[in-house]
Amino acid sequence: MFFLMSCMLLTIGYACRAEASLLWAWDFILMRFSLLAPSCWFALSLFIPFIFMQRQYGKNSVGDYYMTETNENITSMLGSMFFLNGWTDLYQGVGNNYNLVLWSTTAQLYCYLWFPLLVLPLHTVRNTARFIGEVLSFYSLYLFVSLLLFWWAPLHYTFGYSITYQGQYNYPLLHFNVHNKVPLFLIGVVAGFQALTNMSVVKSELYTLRWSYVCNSSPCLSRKPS
Amino acid sequence: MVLRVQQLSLFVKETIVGYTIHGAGYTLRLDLELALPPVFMLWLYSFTQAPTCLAYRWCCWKPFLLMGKYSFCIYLLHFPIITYYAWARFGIEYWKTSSDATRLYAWEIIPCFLIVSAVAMFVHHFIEEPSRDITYKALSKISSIFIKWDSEPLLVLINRTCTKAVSFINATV
Repeated sequence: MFFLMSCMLLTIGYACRAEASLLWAWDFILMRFSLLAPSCWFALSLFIPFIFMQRQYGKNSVGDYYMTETNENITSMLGSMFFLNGWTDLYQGVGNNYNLVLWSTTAQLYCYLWFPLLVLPLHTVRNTARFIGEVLSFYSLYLFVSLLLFWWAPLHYTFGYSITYQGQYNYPLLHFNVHNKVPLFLIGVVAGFQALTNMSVVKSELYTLRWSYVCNSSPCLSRKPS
Repeated sequence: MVLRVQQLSLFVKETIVGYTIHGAGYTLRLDLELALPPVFMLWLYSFTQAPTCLAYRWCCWKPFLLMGKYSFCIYLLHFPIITYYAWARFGIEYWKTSSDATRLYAWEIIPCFLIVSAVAMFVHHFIEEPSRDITYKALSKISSIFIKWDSEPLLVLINRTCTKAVSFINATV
């Protein structure tokens, strides 16, 4: 839901400003990175004492709260700082992240890279049938990519689960992967455009007011689209 | 190949049959994660079309809006703060002993949540908001030194190709 909602709001906020230029794409990515990075870096700085404790006592900071163990080293820290963990290694995205919760931020930034590429081709007026058709197509793609990930997964990969969990490792396998989030992101783009088409942003003050509550990061909604 | 088929059949079994056998837990979460995206999409889309509906007004309740404002910081900080909490509660034993010996009680979610919320508010107001523009300007300045935009933008070409492909599909279908 997070990915759908994020992309839908992003589409509504940025659709009227999107340009087919590399400069705009780079500017957009820098803007999103600047939005996410400072608080992530602060959160990561809280982990520095954990490095020393792990070095001394051999136990990492994960404790009981998560099901996998992190690789607490400098490469992992750098990967976490720039949201790169989880892009290359299909099945260890969460394990390589220093702050485990960064898996979703990493996936989000990965989707942001796709956004400038997709926003203009998908920016069109749709009728309801086409809207439903496109959403179902992207949903099928999501299921297909999820199945492919499972198909290509290392055999009997358990994410540190005991065999007694009887295959429950399927969940993190799909949940933490960044690549199968792109179709969800696409569904969000299409829904965002459909909302823009049917939503009378400029007609009703109430719409604008309520959307500005939700889209507090999208000031575009508070003024008329140019 | 046989092993791959076995693995895929395990996936299907765990997704469809596993729910009925094991009940809730990760299997159920997997089912919901695969099944619910279109439902969520419809829900969100309905909000854009009917902002006066009860569900939307409920979502615009002030505590929820506040929670939404600080949600990113709460999300980012909950894990280190919980670890610090456990460290403070168990002392050095937290790092020395096994995880089972230093397990928090369920009720401790309340103080943890309060601490996380307070720290998240602080981080949002004093780090996230002020440093957003500073980071953006600094990164733009750095990138302008290394990247020149005089060359033919690749994205124009890609976008043109995608648009043509979409038009072709529209015309064909």
